[in-house]
Amino acid sequence: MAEPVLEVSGLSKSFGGISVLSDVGFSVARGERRGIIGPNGAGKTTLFNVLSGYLPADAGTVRLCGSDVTTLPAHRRARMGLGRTFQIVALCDELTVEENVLLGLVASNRGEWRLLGSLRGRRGLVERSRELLSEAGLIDLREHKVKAIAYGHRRVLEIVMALTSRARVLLLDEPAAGLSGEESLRMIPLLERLDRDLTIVLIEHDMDVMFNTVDRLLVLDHGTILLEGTPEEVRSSDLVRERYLGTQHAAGAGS
Amino acid sequence: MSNSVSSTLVSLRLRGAKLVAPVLGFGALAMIPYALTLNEIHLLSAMLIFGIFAMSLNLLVGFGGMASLGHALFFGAGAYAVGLLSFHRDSGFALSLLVGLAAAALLALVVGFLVRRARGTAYLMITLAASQVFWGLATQWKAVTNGDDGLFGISSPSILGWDFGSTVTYYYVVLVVVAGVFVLLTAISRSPFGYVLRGVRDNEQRMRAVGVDVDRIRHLALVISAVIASLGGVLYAYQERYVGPDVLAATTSGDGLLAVALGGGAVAGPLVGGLVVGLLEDVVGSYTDRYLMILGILFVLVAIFLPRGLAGLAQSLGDTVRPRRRAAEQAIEQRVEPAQAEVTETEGAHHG
Ligand SMILES: Nc1ncnc2c1ncn2[C@@H]1O[C@H](COP(=O)(O)OP(=O)(O)O)[C@@H](O)[C@H]1O
Ligand SMILES: [Mg+2]
Repeated sequence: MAEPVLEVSGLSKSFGGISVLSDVGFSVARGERRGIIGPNGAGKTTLFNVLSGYLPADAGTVRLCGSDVTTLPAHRRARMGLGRTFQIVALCDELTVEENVLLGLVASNRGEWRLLGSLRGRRGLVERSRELLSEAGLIDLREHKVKAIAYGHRRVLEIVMALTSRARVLLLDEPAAGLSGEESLRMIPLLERLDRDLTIVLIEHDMDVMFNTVDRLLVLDHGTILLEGTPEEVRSSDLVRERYLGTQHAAGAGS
Repeated sequence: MSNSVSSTLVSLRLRGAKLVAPVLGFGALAMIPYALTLNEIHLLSAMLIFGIFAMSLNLLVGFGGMASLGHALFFGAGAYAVGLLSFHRDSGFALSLLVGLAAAALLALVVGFLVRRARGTAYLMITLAASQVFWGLATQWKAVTNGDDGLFGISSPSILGWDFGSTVTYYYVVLVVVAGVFVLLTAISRSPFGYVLRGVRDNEQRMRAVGVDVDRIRHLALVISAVIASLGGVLYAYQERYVGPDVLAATTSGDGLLAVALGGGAVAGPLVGGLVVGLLEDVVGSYTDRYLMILGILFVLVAIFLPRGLAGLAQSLGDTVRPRRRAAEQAIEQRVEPAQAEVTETEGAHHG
């Protein structure tokens, strides 16, 4: 197996005495597609926030491509190749679709300190942004303000934003959240087309998206890892069926 | 292909069109002294100086989303640098200017650390508190600042033997500085930094996720904004040949915010807002001492009737007067394909 690019060990996090993550450890190999499932409130988003530097860990370590990033701020981890999306779409609403993408590109070139020269006049970046937007099917919307485009398009742009940086590891937090069944199916080819060298950790409730995308699954429950295995192993596990998949269908898919 | 060529042509024409208003505006400002009395020219200089202050504040408020109630601190730093150096040392223009800009940069560096974690109301309060400390110093530390009497004895400004203190000459110097600030801020607004600043305003989380050091971007914006404000303060001191604690008062910061809100837009809006508020301050101030009340009422009126400021109003007017240009702009901005339902649904809702 390829070398691990994301190594997590002994990770714990609590909010005001309530433990949300306890002793979480796993590692993800280069190019792997890893899924994380678990009921609402299991701590999946919190895990992403700790991994990406949006929340400090109480205990444990996070290693990214071999180096310890546990105490680094979010933007430093981003520059080291950790990209992420947010469960609640996080985009610059007053800017256009293309300006959002250009911002991501210029930041990954460390160009955000330039006070002169036009952002929109930077040929190389504009070309790259058009490429990304074409691949994602957003090219016709590039001059629209983000606040004026449909929710489904914003969800796609959220992923494109994570691709603007030179990410080696992508954390995708419910990329299909709030999408219709048909719309979330359209996410599958988008995710499949991503570079095979890119490591992806995916949180998703939509099982079609999940089982079509990932190599291995990690089941999180009450902040601990319940099970780790291939999708088939997880599907056939009585424990998971009873605790998660069963209840999830009974409850009509969590959101 | 021909489509993209023609759209490039139209966008060039649009860019040209966007140059027309500033060129006409500055042209008119350059000609207008011939029709004015010296007192009126003096007032117009004061208005332009306030325009510098408003433009600088808008970099923080409009671009960066950092509403400050303490921007007078930096305007005051420039003004007091001139006042103190003239009062105690009889220093010349060049030195006072440099000290004023440096003092503002230093203060902004310090205040920037105080507001690193502050957002919204906390930002307002900390910046207000910082400026009030210096206002307190200006009024209380009489041995240095001469207290409420303020500092006078500022001599006519000159550089390399060229005296530019006469009303008309000074007006043109101010106008050139205003134009310079206008060009600089327009350049910044189109630059990567300008967009990143707007990105930080819109969504800090996102900007951190793409690798932007949000705290430092905000800090730099404060320093740039402060230095430009202090430039206004230096010009103010030489314009009035007097500096009193009022320049550091919260009302000065409030006037700035009103100008920004009234102006709307990116650079031209706040400048126009600054001119209007500068005029109001002079006119209303000379008729009544209830300036504060009038300021408050104006704030409310602007918030209700001009939520996007004069710039927004000008745009709506322009759109009704020139529907064809509007259509051309939309065609480029939106590239609407009629078949796309989600696109047409939102068309024309937002712009600029
Ligand atoms: N910032 C926070 N402060 C306090 N509690 C939080 C915070 N973030 C998450 N939680 C709590 O942590 C638990 C896990 O939340 P989350 O990680 O969002 O779960 P998931 O993404 O698996 O649905 C929930 O009970 C949630 O209420
Ligand atoms: Mg979640």
